[in-house]
Amino acid sequence: MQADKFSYDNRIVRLFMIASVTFGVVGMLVGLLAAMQLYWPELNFGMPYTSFGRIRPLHTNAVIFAFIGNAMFMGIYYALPRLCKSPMFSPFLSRVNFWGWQLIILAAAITLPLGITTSKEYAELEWPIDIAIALIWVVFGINMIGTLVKRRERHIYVAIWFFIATWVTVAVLHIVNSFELPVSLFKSYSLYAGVQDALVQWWYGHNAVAFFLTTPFLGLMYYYLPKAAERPVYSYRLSILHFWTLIFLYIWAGPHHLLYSTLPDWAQSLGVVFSIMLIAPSWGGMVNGLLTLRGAWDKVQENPVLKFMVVAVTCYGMSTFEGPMLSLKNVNAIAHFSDWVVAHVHIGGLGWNGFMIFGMLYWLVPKLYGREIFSVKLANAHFWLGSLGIIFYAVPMYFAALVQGLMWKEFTPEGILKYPNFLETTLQIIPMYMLRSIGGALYLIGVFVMIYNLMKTAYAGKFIGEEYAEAPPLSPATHPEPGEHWHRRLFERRPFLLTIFATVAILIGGVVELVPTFLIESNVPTIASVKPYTPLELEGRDIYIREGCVGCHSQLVRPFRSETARYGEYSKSGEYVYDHPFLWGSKRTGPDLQRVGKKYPDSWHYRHMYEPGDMAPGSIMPAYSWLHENTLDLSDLKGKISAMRILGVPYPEGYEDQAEADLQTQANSITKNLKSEGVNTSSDKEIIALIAYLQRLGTDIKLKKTESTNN
Amino acid sequence: MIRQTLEHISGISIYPLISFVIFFVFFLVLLLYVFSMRKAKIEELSQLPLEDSLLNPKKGGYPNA
Repeated sequence: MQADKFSYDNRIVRLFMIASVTFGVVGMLVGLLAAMQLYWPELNFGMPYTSFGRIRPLHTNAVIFAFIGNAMFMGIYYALPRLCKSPMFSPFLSRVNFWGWQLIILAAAITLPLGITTSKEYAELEWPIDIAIALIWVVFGINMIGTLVKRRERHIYVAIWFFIATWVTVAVLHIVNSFELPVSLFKSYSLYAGVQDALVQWWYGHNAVAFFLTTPFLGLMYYYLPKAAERPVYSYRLSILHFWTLIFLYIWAGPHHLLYSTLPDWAQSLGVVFSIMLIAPSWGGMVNGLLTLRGAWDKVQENPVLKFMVVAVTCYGMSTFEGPMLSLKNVNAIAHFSDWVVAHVHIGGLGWNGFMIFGMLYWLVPKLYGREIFSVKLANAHFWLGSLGIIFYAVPMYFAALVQGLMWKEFTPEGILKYPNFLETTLQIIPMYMLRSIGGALYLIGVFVMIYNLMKTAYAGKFIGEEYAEAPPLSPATHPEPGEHWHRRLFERRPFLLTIFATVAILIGGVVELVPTFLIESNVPTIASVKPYTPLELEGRDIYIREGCVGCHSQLVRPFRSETARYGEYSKSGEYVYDHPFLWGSKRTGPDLQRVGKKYPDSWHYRHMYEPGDMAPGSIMPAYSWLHENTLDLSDLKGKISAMRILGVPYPEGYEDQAEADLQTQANSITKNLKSEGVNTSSDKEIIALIAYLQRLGTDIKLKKTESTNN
Repeated sequence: MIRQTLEHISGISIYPLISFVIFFVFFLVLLLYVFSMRKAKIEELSQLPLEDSLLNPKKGGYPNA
């Protein structure tokens, strides 16, 4: 049969490569800055745009979606056409995918420092950007499925299954988690409230890790590891088992992020059980990757590509063992809200994703430029810098987590908290924060060494923009091969069927988990004393969201003696029914705020927000002095009230017109109160709204208690 | 007094059971499928990433690889 001649487009691979490395450097620099702010608060520069609460999401988004996301596209745009023996479906769509994705990153880089955020972790971007992400994701999907349809290789290699599952699941997660009601171009409220919002968000958050950071990279592992080792994967059978069990199980595990929260017990248990079960496919994948190198370990000594990949796969194994352990309730009781979680994600991010990307880059650049790597020695130096960086990052964080986690829970023999002052536990782990940033810096230096090495390689070689290839066209197979059953070809041949099966597999878990919680909405016990936020408190809450307070402060008191003694009554799900979005948080760099209302006088908050160190000496919280100068913007107030009413918050009809007057009354009373405590300010400042919100937090239940004692 | 949400939905205890049964059946079918595949096919499939173009330019790479 006459072979078709065609060429592979390496230019698009190079574009994604440049974007990934560039944003990788930016994302890591921002991460380093955020890490240093934790022991050197002056590095917040006293500006809103560079304060920790706003740049933390900038760091996570840059690293996840710009560094790792672009690298994922790079890997797929190289591997997919070669596995299909066909160029990408449309070079135009490839460009739309590339430039669209970079525009989204640009939009994120502008909006996040401006405080435009939904506050939902890894889904912080506001609704117009959400829509853009969905559109670009569809473009990517069309391009990928189109290539599969045009392919010249009958079989669909397992790597492609992972790419398809990635595409389907990220689409589902992104759409379901992004349901929000726009108030203005840059402001929206989550459609879900409280417990439901938390469940959807962590179903999303957990599976974003699964299907954006894990499955695409497993697909890439199944392609680039055999490539670099020049031998097939250890067991193809195991890879099939790995794929289906992994995507089936992963989707159920989200609730392990919400243990001891007000989420119903059955959902928490479901999350734990499936997390433990996840060890099996994850380790199956790790073993499959590592055993691919059986009998070839001598190559690992010589080839930096394999070195990086071996450590990457090992980190994947560590991370996927640690994850299930963290979801055991007794471990979670100590580790949750602590730096353990930060260490855990960085084993995954720096080790698994980062090292896989470096391995791919060291393999791809020589291929794309048709020459050997400039310096194997420098690549090895990078390997050791990176490995040391990971260790220096993770070990101090584990140590910090244990020290602080245990201090939070320690009681004196008399039965009172040994460290009632939260700050005391923070100050204890400051040296660990310093060591951590050294680890991050080492890792980043390694990246610069890599960039130098790769650029030298590129300059010495010549870029192969079009790579010519030929392959016979695919003849339509009408009959099964002899001895083959009809169902054999279902999974490995038909892209559409494969897509549908993968969708069904991931939907089962999502449906079982989410639907009951939504169906029984009417059963959520609304606590009689829990009232909607006043207009001023609502505006204050939006400032709390804008400044990213949720990055360091939880609003969830777990039912432990150590927490009720420190913070007050444990949280009830009925308290959150008007919280669009929920603000439970996932990390306590500062204390929980669920019961902070009425704990301190207004003037304490006023002074504390102006200069935290004045009220809490040694505090690492950034100063928020701009809140004391900015005038509260009320232009969206009416829209916010009516949006909240549409979402089910019982503001009376026509309350929009009265809201501003109510707001002024409450603001005036706070200003008057402040004046009596020796603080002079006008009632139109942002800080007044924030104080109103903070003083309201958790007081509904306290009020109820007072009433019942009176009765 | 104040009940945790959803603790008392009727029949909720069946959910984990259903989940387990679905997964177990799925897993059994998968095992059967995987182990009924022919060895020759398995080898053909696992070679796919190594033979991705007929021209297969061997340029680039590592001195000792």
